[in-house]
Amino acid sequence: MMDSKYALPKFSFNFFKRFENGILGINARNLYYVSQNSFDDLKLVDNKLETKELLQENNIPTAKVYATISNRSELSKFDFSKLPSDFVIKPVKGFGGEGIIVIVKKEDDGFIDIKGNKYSLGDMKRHIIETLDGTFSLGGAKDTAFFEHRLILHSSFKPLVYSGIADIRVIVYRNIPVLAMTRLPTEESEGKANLHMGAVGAGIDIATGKTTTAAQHGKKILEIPHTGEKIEGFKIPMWDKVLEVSSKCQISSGLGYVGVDIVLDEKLGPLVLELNARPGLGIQIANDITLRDRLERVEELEINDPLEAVKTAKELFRN
Amino acid sequence: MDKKLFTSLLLLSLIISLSVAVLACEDDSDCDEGEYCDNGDCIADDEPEEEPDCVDDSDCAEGEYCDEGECLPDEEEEEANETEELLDCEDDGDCDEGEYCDEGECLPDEEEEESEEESDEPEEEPDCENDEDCDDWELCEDGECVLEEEPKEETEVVVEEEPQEVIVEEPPEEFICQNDEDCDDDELCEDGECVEIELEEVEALLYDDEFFIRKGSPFLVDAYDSDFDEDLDSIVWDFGDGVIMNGSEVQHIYNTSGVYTLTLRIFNEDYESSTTARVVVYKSLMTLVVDGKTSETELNQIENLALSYGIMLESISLPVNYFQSDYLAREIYAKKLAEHEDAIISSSKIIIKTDGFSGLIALSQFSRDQEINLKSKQIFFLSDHISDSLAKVASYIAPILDAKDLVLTSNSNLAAIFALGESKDLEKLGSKYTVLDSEANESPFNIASSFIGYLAFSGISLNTLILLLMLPVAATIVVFFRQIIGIQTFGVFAPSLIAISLLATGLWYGLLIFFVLLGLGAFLRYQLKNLKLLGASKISVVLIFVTILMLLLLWAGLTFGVSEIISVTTFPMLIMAFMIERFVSVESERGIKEAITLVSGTLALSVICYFVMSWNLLQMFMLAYPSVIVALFVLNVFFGRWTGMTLFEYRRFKQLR
Repeated sequence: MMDSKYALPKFSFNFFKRFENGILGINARNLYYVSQNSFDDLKLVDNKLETKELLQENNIPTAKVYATISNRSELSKFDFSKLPSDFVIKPVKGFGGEGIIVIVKKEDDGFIDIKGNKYSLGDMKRHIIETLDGTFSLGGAKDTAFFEHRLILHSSFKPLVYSGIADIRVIVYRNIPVLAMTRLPTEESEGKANLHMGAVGAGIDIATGKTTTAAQHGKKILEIPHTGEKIEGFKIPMWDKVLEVSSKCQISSGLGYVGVDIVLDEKLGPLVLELNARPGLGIQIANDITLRDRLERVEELEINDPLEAVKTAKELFRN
Repeated sequence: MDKKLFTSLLLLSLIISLSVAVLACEDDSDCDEGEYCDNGDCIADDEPEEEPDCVDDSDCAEGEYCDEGECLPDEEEEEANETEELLDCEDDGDCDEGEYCDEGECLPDEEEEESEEESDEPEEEPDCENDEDCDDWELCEDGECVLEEEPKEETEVVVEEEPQEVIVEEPPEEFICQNDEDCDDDELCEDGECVEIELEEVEALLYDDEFFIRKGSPFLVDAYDSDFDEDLDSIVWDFGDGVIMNGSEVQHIYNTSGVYTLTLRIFNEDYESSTTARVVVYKSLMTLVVDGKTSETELNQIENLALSYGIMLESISLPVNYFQSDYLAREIYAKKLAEHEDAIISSSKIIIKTDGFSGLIALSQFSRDQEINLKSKQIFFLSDHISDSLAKVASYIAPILDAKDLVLTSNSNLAAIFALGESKDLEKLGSKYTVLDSEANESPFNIASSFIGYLAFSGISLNTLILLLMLPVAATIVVFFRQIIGIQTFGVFAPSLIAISLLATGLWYGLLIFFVLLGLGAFLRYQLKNLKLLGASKISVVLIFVTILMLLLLWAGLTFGVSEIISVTTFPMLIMAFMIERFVSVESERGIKEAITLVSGTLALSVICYFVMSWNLLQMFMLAYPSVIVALFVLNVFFGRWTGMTLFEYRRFKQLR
């Protein structure tokens, strides 16, 4: 029997399961799968810094954090000259991409961001103070600012991405990568890999790492809007590594059901962006594959080695 | 932008502090003597008003008098003009010899020598007998010649005396008649002469065209609104029951109930006029309470039916406004009933014929608010669907009303109720009726409902209880729509709470307020983004603006007479502010589309909850069987363990199946 820490509900109702054809709906996801994530797990994934620490402890590649500033005295002591020439400054509790500055170049008297705006040292400090004061956090809670490695998207994605950074979402259950997609920012999504905002979700065949079908706004598409680039058949570089990292994430975090967000960095390869304890269901549409039956197929498996998990996944899930 | 704000604030505070510093004085004590404080400046005080030379004449030198604080010499000519106020004399003794006192002024007597003599003993030797003895400008009065400008009182006395002389002096020389009897029949005695009567046109008019009289009580009526001459014209009343009376003011007692035609006829030889009025003679007075479900013609039919039984029906039509909820309506109904308090008090029976139990609740609210004792009255609640829950709810209301009887019966029994008249014997009603005891139901098996009954009896308004009991219903509905249908909302609370707000405001005004507040709030919230305030103060600032907007809405409600807007309280306002915050955060995280989806989902569910919560039958059911809440609990457990796809997901994943 499974060694899940969290018992499934003893009774549940679904009179229409035979009409569902293996689709995972939100009620089943919450009751069967998300419920396997404990409250502590949920708290962990909500904190980007803690997640990163955990991943680093377990030798899982993630964007490097150069420094954190959690109060004003830390800010006054902080030596900006130690920062690399390009980096990203982010609020830990930020939402909706607010409060993020992407610095691409360092000059003697300041920094240049990706849009070409110049930030003096004073501007930078002011921005950090605003972050600390909770300007960018939900509900205005006190926040921490951190400096992170600036991701450079693997160049092979270039034809598919309008601007911004594409990422890969892998659903992992029982340590096995079950379903994956890549989220491609579009003009409409303003360069964000956010399906709600109009990014394209392209399904990936677990076995081959090639893109299959794609959807935007919940509807199937074949080409990237505006550019007309054909989506199907794009080979994700370092695919096995991506799957291995995803599996590792679940093993080390202990989350029962997790969506792992990975970015392929030009130099560093797969880097874990964040873990998601309530991954969305739109991935089924992007892949044109139902998730429920896949989850049920791995339910009984007990594989604790990431490499073996990747092998099993590739055998089990061939699109 | 924030810098600008800060600078302007700083400037403002600077200006305020400077203006305070510049003030030389705050009150006169801050200034030198001889100066006074005016708008913060010390001003030399050279105006004499402050220190008057004198208060009264004693402060002045002799030969001077005090006038408005100044001493003025007595000799001045102007003095004479001003003396009207300063009395030189009160009677002649105050004046010099040779002068007399007139209206407080010493006036010289006639400068002729005669006057000197007269002034000594004027009463013994009258200097005139009539006006001719006096000068042109004088009148003779009491033997004295007096100037024409005399006090009015005295002239009045003169006027009074004059007519006595006139009467005596002017007796008609040709004496024909002293009164009408001295003349022929068609003549009148006028100024002692017999004059032929000129008959004038008459017009019969009554002050009312309908009279309601209880059988056996005196009916007093007069013709004083008519145009007639009491002496010349004949006034005839026909009461319609065979009784005919004469006179301008008559009294009659009807012995049989029914509708009579009262005819007033006024006539003389030349002219004739008549008018009629309806006289409704009733055995008994009853009050009928109906709502908009009973049409005008239906109401007329009922009134006529009642009349045929000799029942006078005072009908109270409760206004129906589809824009407002039942909860609001019941409060309005209670006020409407209060307007007819007199009729209700004098009625022996009160009949309520409303859709659902609103009329009954309104009556209980009314009797409680107005402290009306209904002990002697029988109350009938007419309904074609007398369910157990209605009976149950009525059993809560019975002890509150504390009437002689509270009877539930069907509409078809209306005539039977009228037939009862003053009789209290319900047996005559026939078969179908339920009498509810005015003592509270004490069933140990239904603790919950006796508890609700106790609360209602102890003064908690039934409206409040219903609202409270409907809240779990609303929440369950929200859960159903979220779990089974798949509508996305801002949590479970928001739709239930907004639904309750809508019940307070009515649907349309509630939605209007919702959109106005949300639109403005969201707009403001985006503007505030640039201000870079901390989250908590952002919310507070939005709340401040929401408050200002609410005040404006209240003003608009008053100006345009929309009471629904006025009934919006802080509670829905806070819900709105909360929604605004959620809206903005969802918008920035998941885009405007998602945010709008959530808002519309929340609103749609709120409206659904509104309709369910205003469903009369359900309200009655929840009130009657409050233990149903336990069943709701079970239902929620079921929904909470429902793992099936939502209806919306079937559509979303259509292509996968």
